[in-house]
Amino acid sequence: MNKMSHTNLPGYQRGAASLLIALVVLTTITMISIYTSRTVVMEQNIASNDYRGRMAFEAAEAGQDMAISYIANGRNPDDDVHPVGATNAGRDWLAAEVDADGNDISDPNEWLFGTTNTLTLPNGSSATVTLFNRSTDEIISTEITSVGRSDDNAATRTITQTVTLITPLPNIPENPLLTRSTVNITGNADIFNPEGHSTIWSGGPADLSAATVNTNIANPAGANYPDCLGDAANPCSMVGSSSNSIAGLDIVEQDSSLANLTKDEFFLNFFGKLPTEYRNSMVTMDLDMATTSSATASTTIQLATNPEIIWIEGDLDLSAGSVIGCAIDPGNGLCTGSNIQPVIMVVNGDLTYSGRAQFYGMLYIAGQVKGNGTPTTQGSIVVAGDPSDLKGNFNITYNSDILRQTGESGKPASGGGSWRDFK
Amino acid sequence: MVQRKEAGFTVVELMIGLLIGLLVLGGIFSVYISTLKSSGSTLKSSKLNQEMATIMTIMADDIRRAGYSGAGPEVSVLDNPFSKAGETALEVHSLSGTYSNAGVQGSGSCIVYAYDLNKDGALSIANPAEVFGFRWDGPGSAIKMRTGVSAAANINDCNADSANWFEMTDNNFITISGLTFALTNSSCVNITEPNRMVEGTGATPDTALAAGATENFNERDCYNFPNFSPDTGEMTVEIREVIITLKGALADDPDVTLTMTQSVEVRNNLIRITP
Repeated sequence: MNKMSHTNLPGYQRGAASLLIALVVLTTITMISIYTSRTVVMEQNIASNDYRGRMAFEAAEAGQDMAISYIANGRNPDDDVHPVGATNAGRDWLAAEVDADGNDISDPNEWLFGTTNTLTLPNGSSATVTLFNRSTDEIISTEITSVGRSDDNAATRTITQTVTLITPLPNIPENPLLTRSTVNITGNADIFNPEGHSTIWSGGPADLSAATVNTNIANPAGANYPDCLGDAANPCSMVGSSSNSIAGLDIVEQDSSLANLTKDEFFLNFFGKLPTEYRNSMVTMDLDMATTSSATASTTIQLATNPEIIWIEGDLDLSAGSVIGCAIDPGNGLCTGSNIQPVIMVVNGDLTYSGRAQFYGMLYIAGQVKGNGTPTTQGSIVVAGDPSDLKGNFNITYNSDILRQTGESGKPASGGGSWRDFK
Repeated sequence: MVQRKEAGFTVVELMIGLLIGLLVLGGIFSVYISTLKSSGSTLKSSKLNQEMATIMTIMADDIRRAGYSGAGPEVSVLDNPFSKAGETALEVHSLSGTYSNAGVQGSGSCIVYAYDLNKDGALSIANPAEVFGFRWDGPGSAIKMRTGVSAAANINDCNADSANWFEMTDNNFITISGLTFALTNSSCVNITEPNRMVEGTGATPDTALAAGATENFNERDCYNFPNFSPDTGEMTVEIREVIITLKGALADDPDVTLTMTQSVEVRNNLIRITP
């Protein structure tokens, strides 16, 4: 017998029971742990999917907000300012590279519809924004679709919202001169409508007898007639219609549909809002004549570099030589091309002019027009006061293009009720 | 006589051996028990977590869409059929006996709203139902989801059409112990302000602002400005924020509980003209 035989004895194997139990238990623990860890891994997957889903949603929202703010700011495409993270080589984010109409803001006609615009966010997620044209004849509107992606491109969320430009001039007048009541023209007045056959439309009598008036309308015998009607870019050749001795068909007077309107209703006709509401919500330059001198106001409103909606509360004596709605003073010539920054000017009072003055856009006078001078207007003049006395050498040329451009200074509003995140 | 070598252990040896064996086994079993316990609670909490997160996501994503209309820009926001105040606009109702409107900044356990599921711009109360809602009727109840109404008058009614409210949680699996929709952080802006007028309280008419005086900016806040409600004809924009609080426990282990809170901004604001 040696010591080896010692260990072979059954009595020495009793520890095996412990070992066996320990093994079984350890195996069970391992299996439980594996099962638990699988559940934990699954939960982790769910949590990270949730996180990526949120990330994609937030990226989509970021892209959309960026697009809305871009549209709202009307940034000049010529400035080449891109949002941080925007990757569009060779062109602007959402808009064409060039400010085509030269008015220094990105207008609906420079927005690029149907092309994708990418925005990469600092956390690695990205958004792809596409604009779709939803404009109708009356409304300028765009649908913004933003597809957000998580940093690993695994999650995608799409949100859509429509932004509508609230146009400051929903109903563009179709006459060079429109008055709610009587209009008396004294002096030398030239009224042109190269886009139609109507010049003066008044609710009361239009008295031209004391003046040397000439109205000119589109010539039906002209070369490009009738395509030229309503086309400011290719206007019709004109033919004389009325004068102080002949009242032509271009003058519509004593129209009760105008005369019966209150001043507020008359205003509502063109601007779609009541005067107080309009002043509060749309106006970009508000001058209260109770606290501002006419000289200061005249300086403030002229030579604007951006299209403005000007509200003058009270009577304005326009200084001689004022040029409103043009970036430069063209002297005795006319403002042209990108210098034209048409304005909407509402004078809630009387407008008195003297000397030379130029105006581009829509001039609305709630009171009367007075004065003596040589004012030139491209666009349209609307007078609500009674009576309207136009003295001096008036020159009014109707231009629908200039009037339409004033509409672009509208404010965008995301249409309440247009947000959705499903297809 | 053959001397037989004694093969046994002494009592001391045996006791030491047993003790060591017992200690080892005890250690192993305690590891086993704790693994089993922690694994069990991990599984339970993960189960509860997943279930409640799913419910929360469903509710939050759906509430966010309230007021959507596919009618397009031609239809004024004021005519949005899915966001008509007092009819289809989002409302929170609180329960005391029966459900009643909790108000613009109130909170309650029932929420009703509508959105344009098929994007046709017209409200439909069945096939497809474009009116939705969630409610919880108190302890012992499951969360219910609304799948339509029988009449247009019931759109903002949490009590009506009980047949159209379906349970979306299983009482045998989780016990819901609380569900609140709170509009506490919602705000309202009167967009006609500032209007250069001093708002009159109650029926007192507005008066013109004195020359040189500054207008109270708070007049814009049509929820909180004291004694002030917007005048007839004034336009207001209401930005609704719903804070959803969900509390639940596992049915087979009430000790496993979870409270979740999520805040949802309803993207389509309620725009209306004060009648």
